[in-house]
Amino acid sequence: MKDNSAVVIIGSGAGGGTLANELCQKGIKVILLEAGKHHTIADFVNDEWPSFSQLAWLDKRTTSGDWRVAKDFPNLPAWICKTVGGTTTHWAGASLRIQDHEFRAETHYGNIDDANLIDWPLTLKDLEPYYAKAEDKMGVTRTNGIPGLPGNNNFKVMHAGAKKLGYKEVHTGRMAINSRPRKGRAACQQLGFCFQGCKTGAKWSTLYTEIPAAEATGNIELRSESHVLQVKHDADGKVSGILYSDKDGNQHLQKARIVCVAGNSIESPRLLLNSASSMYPDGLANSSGQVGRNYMRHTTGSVYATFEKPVKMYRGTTMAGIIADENIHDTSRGFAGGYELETLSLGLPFMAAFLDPGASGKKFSDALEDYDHMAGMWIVGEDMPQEKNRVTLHATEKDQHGQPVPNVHFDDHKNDIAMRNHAYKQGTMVYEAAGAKTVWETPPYPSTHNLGTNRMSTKTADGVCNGFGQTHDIKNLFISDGSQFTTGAAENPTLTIVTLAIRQADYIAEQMGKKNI
Amino acid sequence: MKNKHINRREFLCNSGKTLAGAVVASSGAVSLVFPTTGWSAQLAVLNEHESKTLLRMTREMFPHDKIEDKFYAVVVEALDADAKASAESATQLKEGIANLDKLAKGDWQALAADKRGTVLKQIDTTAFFNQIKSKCVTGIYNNKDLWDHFGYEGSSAEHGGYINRGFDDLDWLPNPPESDSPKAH
Ligand SMILES: Cc1cc2nc3c(=O)[nH]c(=O)nc-3n(C[C@H](O)[C@H](O)[C@H](O)COP(=O)(O)OP(=O)(O)OC[C@H]3O[C@@H](n4cnc5c(N)ncnc54)[C@H](O)[C@@H]3O)c2cc1C
Ligand code: SF4
Repeated sequence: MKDNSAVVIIGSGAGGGTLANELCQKGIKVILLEAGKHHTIADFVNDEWPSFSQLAWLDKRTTSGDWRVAKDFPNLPAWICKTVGGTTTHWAGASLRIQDHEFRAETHYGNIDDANLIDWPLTLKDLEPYYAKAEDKMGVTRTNGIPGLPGNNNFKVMHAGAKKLGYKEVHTGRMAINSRPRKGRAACQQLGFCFQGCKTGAKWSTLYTEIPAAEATGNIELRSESHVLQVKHDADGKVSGILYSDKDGNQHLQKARIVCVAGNSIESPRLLLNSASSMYPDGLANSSGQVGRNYMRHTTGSVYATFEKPVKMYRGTTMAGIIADENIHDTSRGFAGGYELETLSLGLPFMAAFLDPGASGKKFSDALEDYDHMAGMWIVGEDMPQEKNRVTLHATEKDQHGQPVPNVHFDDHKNDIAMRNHAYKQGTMVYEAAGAKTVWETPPYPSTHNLGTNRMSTKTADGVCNGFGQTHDIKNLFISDGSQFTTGAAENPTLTIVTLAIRQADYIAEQMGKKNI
Repeated sequence: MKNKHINRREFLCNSGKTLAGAVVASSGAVSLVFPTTGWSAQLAVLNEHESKTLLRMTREMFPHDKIEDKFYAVVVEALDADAKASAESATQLKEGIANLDKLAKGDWQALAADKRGTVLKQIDTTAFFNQIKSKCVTGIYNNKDLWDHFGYEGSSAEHGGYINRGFDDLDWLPNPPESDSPKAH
């Protein structure tokens, strides 16, 4: 595929991997470029730091802003993967639909100071048929007649406390993890290492679902260890191909009919900015100036508690447990938007690194001494898009390819802080109701949900792409990952990323058919 | 060879259950020796006083009464390896320890426990302190030999996960109804 007939997709994670398969199924030729290595399930290790070194994106990044991550992990703003399958290797599988009112955040939340809120250029109704396809593809529990997962010890604690508090919607979640064998994937064996790559394949990942399915069509060429450096354009301003570096550092030009960027919300805007040319001095698709802006990471935080009796929270599915009652828009709580509380556990090595980064002393040691008596939950809520929260190119620091590294700037919005404090309080009450001895309010980890840096908008001045991820400025350039998100909503984002990719594939095929692109 | 064994009580802090072990110096070279466990390590850069100070510091920063000194010595060994690999790191450690003694107006280790803590507090934002802290976080909690102590079971794939090994064995709270937590299939 040396000619310019193929669709070139950059990144093989939730967005890129799914889009590749969907296009291949329609008979469209795809070249999928992935910066990371091609691992198999057999390579995965049930060991936190080695798994992190194996799969995480470790190229240099810098941070700024008042978020605590910038202080605790100045070169690790995000926990994202660099491997075939992208972050769907490390993800936990929680798969929730965004709610109708969240797609229309500006309409529902009104004018919030310093928030760059707009409505999505699409509605829940537009997405419903695609959500259904995504849930079926991924095998989401509590949809398509798939039973929920059995609750583990960590869930039992959450459930007992939540019910005492009067919460109603408390269950083992909607998870893209097989509760029984389905579509060639095994059932969950409750290993407890969902964040390290699922060794049974029970958890959906593009690595062993979408990508092999695409390969079976014969329409795809997957090039791993191929880091895309720039997207190129022709004299008409349309994109014409990409420049990438292979594993030996040799650079290649690959022509393309269409380019789809799916490198996750830090690398995608970085790539567009790094592709600046005399025609597009501010980077590609950036006439709005919004490329890299409105970076969102969800309002997060964790609550851990220790109990008199053992919990062993690390046993079993990491995130199969949810309290959904707070995921409403009710400003009487002091903030706009909602949040979920989801079970979460870290192994001892990560717990030591993340429970209270930078802490030492007896209180901290005592908490870890009680590690097997601990329960944990994660807060995931809507954060406000802010123009100043953005990915920019570093003025001096360069990566191994000689390209400017990305800087990720994030300041908490006061709505984020109010929500986090509310969630800390509720989470604490849940555990106290279950009999907690001590409770820890753990600050946010490096961002696992990275969103919004090439957002969809109705007006071209407000964002980077339209409701199909097609950039406003360049019609054969698409955004195919979470950076399209107009607002963050409260739900874990991947189901929506997959849903948008399925819908985008239909749109691309249609536009190609009409010879519009 | 004439080894100068240091009385282990000199560097144990509040600990009754540690196994015998020592910082051993002989003709300039310093070793960490724990005879009953068969573990020992030769240090390249740190001298006797420095190793003993670090051994005590690591325990005071992350006190676990039931964990034996050998495991803190592993952290000291790792710090020594850093010092060997980087002159900058060596200087930071040596100067940090000298500064600690300066603040203690003598040997920091010789202070009473509460005084040692007060002095540590004075330096707890320094790069030196952070260097030791990050080494402890991985050196102690990412040490597989200690996981059992903390009740962490580590890798489970080779044991078939926990599906039949107690993923839901917690019995001191009511079981959630099947609508919220279905039976395993
Ligand atoms: C520990 C953890 C738990 C999570 N749990 C959940 C959950 O329960 N539910 C949920 O919804 N989400 C979860 N997530 C988030 C989820 O993984 C991401 O939202 C999702 O994978 C993002 O998809 P993406 O396509 O935007 O990017 P990714 O999946 O990150 O894929 C991007 C890919 O692009 C590649 N790439 C980047 N730049 C280049 C380049 N220049 N050239 C070539 N390749 C490039 C990267 O190497 C990567 O493989 C979790 C994430 C983590 C880390
Ligand atoms: S708990 Fe289930 S989903 Fe998680 S890693 Fe194990 S088998 Fe996979």
